[in-house]
Amino acid sequence: MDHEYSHEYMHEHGIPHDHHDHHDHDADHPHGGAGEHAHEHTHEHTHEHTHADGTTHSHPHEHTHSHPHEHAAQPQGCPGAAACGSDCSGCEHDPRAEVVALMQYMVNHNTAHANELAQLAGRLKDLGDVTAFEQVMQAVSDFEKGNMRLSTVLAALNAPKA
Amino acid sequence: MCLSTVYRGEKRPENEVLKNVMLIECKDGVVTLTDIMGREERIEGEVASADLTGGTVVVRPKSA
Repeated sequence: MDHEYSHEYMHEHGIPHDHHDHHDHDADHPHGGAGEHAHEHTHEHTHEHTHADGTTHSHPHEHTHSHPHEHAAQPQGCPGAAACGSDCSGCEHDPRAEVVALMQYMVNHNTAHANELAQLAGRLKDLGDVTAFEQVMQAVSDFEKGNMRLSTVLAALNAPKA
Repeated sequence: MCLSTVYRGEKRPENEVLKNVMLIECKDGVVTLTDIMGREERIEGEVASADLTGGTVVVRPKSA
């Protein structure tokens, strides 16, 4: 299934922005794993900030990051009850699937932490510490880039082998 | 928010019940643990403590 994904997205930290994504959506998500998984999105933030000389302006930043979606567990490569019997509890025989599921969890977890850090930055701004706000937001951007790298590795791990 | 390791009785390596636990349900004196792969463990007893920053949960088994 291929679909266009576009909506205005409001992060918990309260910075509104649009993001758009066009991706293949396989109903049989190959990564499996319980809970959430991430889709990559590119979106644009606008941050207003004040420089040391008192000039206040805003300019857009474009970020690509993952966005979690809930899916039922369907472990990759797990033969399921058909092979393991009715007591099969998942992927005990597929350590790779477990590593991939943990990677997926960490990527989603990092996304949540990035949002929490952005909220903390907003609180610093509200407290009047604009410099700290900017520094934390820069750290959030770096953090998202690192997570994007992990997400890319994850995508490669999930890709069907030739 | 983080995944936890669940121990039975006391936090010791030999008491480990399940790692990467994402869901803990307590009902009718039974603690049901579910890990990230959907594996389940059931222990009769109750949650004695949950260290949410350390990712450690201790379940106290039901006394005989």
